[in-house]
Amino acid sequence: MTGMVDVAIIGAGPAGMAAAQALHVHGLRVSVLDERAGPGGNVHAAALDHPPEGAALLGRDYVRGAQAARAFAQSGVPVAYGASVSRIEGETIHYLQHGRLRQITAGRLMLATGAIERPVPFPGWHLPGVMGAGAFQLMLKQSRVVPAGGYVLCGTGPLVLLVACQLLALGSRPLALLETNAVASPVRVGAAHLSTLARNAGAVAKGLSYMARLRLAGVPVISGVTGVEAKGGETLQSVHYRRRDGATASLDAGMLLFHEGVIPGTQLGLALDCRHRWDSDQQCLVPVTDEWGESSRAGTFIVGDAAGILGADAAPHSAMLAAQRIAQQLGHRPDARAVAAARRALEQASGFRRFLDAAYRPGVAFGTPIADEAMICRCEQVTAATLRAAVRDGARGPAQAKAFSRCGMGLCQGRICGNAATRLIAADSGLDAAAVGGHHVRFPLKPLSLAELADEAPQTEQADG
Amino acid sequence: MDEAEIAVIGGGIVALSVAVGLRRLGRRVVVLDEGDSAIRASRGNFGLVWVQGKGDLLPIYTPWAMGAVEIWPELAEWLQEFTGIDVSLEQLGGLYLCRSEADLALRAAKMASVAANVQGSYRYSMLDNKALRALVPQVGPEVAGGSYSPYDGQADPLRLFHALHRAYRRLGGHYLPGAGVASIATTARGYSLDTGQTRIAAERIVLAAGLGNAALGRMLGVEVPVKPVRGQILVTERVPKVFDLVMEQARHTPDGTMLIGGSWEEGAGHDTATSHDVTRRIASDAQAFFPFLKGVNILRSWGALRIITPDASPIYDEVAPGAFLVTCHSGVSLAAVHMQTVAGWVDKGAIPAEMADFGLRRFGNHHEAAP
Repeated sequence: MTGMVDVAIIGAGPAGMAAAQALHVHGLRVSVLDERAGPGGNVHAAALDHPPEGAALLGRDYVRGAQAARAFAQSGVPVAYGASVSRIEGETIHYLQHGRLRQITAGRLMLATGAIERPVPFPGWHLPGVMGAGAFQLMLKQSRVVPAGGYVLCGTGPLVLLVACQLLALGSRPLALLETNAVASPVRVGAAHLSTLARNAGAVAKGLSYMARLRLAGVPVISGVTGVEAKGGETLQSVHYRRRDGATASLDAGMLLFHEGVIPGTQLGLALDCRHRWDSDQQCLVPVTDEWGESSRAGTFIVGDAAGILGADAAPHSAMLAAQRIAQQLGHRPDARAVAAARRALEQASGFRRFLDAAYRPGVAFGTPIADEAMICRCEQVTAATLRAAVRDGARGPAQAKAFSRCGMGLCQGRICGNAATRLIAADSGLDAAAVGGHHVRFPLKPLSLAELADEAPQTEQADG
Repeated sequence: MDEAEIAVIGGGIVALSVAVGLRRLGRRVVVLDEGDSAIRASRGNFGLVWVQGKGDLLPIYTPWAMGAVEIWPELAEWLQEFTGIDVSLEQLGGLYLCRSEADLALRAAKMASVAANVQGSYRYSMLDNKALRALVPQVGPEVAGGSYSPYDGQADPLRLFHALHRAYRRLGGHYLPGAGVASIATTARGYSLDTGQTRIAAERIVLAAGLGNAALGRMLGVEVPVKPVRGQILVTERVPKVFDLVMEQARHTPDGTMLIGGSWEEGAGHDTATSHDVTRRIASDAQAFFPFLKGVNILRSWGALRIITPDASPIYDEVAPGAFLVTCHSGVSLAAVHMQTVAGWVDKGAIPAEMADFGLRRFGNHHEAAP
C-alpha cells in the first residue's frame, strides 16, 4: 500500500468493496482499510474462508456475498486487512496494523463502516450467554462453531428469523422465539405497501419462508413480548419476559440472542465532527450527507449502511454514487448510466426499507422505558439508575452525563451505550433527542499502547502495507 | 422573566464553587450555564490540587494557593457528607518531572522565585535523578530530575464537578442549562441578563464563565485578558496503582485509569481537538518518565483549554458595581477558597482591599483597549 492515494476507504464490506472497484476502474489510486482478516464486512464476514458446503448452510445470500468478496479480492485494489483506524487528522489516516502504527494520506475519505446492532439495554443483557443475534451470527461465520444449545431468540425483524433458521440448519433447534414486534399485524402493514412488496417479491418470500421453516420445525413463537430480562449468576440461566397483555413467564436458557434491528455505525463520523441528525423514526443518529453521500466534512463521503440503514443489497449502490461523484470531482467523466441505475436501485431499496421499518417496530427498545437496573454503559458498569441521577443533577446531554456518571467513558467510547444514553436522557429530561445529541468521540478510536503511539512507523517503511 | 439576588454566569467548577458558597450563605442564586457542547475546562481538567510553581509572576498568588489547599479537606468532607460523592482528595505531595537538564534549571529558578514570595515558609526541594528515583522508583533513568513539594495533591475533577452540581441542586439553587448570556443590561436594581430565550434580573452578577468571561466583560465595557492555552491529555486503561505521589505529568485516578499529560499550546484558539504530533510526543515523554508504561494501552485522548491570564494567576475584581469577575486556570485547586472566601466577598458586595492585587488593574491600561 502506498503512502498517498486519491481515496481511502474505511471498510471492505459490500459498500467499501463496490466503491473501491468503481474508483479503481476510473484509474484512481484507492486504498481500503479493514479491521478484519478478509473482505465481506459483517454481513459476509470470512466469506472466503468457507468451503462451498459450509457457506451454503449460512444461506444463499451468504454464498452470493462470497462471490462478491472473491471478485473484490481478484480486482487488484490494495487493501490493508487487520487495520484499525486510530486517528484521522486532515488528510492523514493513522492506523494500527500488526502492532505497528502506520499512516496513509488520502485526498478523499470514504466511510463504509456499516451498521451495528441496535443496543437495547435490559436487565441482565451484559451477562455471559446473552448476545446480539447479529454478533452471534458473525461468530458463526468466522469460527464456524455453534456453542452448546439451549438457545432462546428474542427480538424482531428478518435477521432474528434468519439466525433461528441457521441454527436449525446447523442442528441446534432454538427453544423459543420471543417476538418483540410492536406491530401486531405486519400483514396489514404489508397491505399498505403492496406495490413495494411486489417489487421486492424475493425478499418477501425469503421472510415468509424463514417463519414457515421455524413453525415446521416446531419452534415455539411467542408474540407480543414487550419486556425481557436475563437472569443468572455468572452466566445466563433463565429468560423472563412480559407480554403485551401483562402476562409474564420464563424459560431456562443457555443462550439468549437478542436483536431489534441495526443502526448506522457512526463512531468515525462523530470523531470527525461530521454533522449528524437524529432520525426520530428509527431513533438513532444518522449522518447528514448530500445526494452523493458527501458529509458536512468536505471530501469525506459516507456510504452503505453507515449512512442510513438500507441493507447489504443496497450498499453497493450508494457506494457507486459516491465513487462516481469523486471521479467527477477529480476530473474524470462519471458513468451516467451507472449513476441512474444506482439511483433507481436505491429508490427501490428505500421503499422496501420503509415497509420493513413499518412492519417491524422494536417493541422493547421503543416501547419500554429502560429499567433502572439495566447496565447502560457496559465498559464502565453504569446502570440506568446512575445515568438518571446524572440527569437529575442537571445533565442535559451525553457530554455532561459522561462527566457526571462515566457513561460512555470506557473502552468503546459510547459505541454501545451512546444510542441508549441519548434516548434515556431525552426521556428523562423531556428534551427532544435531537437536542440531546450524541457523544463526542475521541482519538484513538481503538486502544493502542504508549509504545505503539510513540513509535509510529516512518512513511518509508510502509511500502508493502 | 426569572429573578434572583445573584446570577452566576458559568456552569463549571469555578462558577459552581461560588454558587454553592452563596447558597450556603442563604442567597437566592441562579446559575446560567451553556449547552452540553460548551467549551468546558472543568470536563478536561487533570485534577491536581496544586501549589507548586504558582505565583512566580504574582506574589500574592502563592499564599492564596497555599491557603486554598489547606482548607480543601473540609470541602472534600462536606461534599462526601452532603452529596454522597467521594471526590478522592489525596494530599501526599507532588512532583514536577524534568526530562532534560535545561528544563530542570528553569524549574529550579521558578521554584526559587515562588518561595521568595512567602519569605521562606514554602517548603520544596529540587531532586536529581537519584533522589527522584529514591522517591518514585518507577521513574526512568533518562529523566534529569524534578521538583518536589509536600503541599500538592489531587482530587477527581469530574467527581468534584458532579458533586458541586449535586450540592447546588440540593441546596435549592436554580440552575438554567442551555442559557448562555447574549447581552447584559444595567437596570435600576442591578442587571438584566438576556439569554436569547429568557431574561433574568439580578441585583448582582458573577462572571465565572472561564474563557467566556472575555465576551461577558466586553458586554460591560471591560477587557478581560483571558486566552485559551490548549493542553492534551492521554488516559490509559486501568492499571494497578504504583505511586502515591502526584506528578504534573501523570496521576492515578480513583477509577483506576492513569492520566498522562500534557502540552501547552498557545496558538490553538478555541479548538479542543487533539493532534497526532502532540499525543505522540506526550507518549514518547511518558515512556521516558515511566518506562513501565510502554505496553499500557491508551484508551482516549482529549484536548482542553486552560483559561490563562498574562501572569497565569486568577483575577478577582468588581468590574462594575455589583458585577464580580472570578476567573482562573486552577478551578480545582482553588475550589474550597472560592466557595468559602470568594462567595463571601460577593455576598458582602465588596472585595477586601488587601486582595486588590488580584484585580484587573495589575495588567495596566493596554489590556482595557486590546481585545
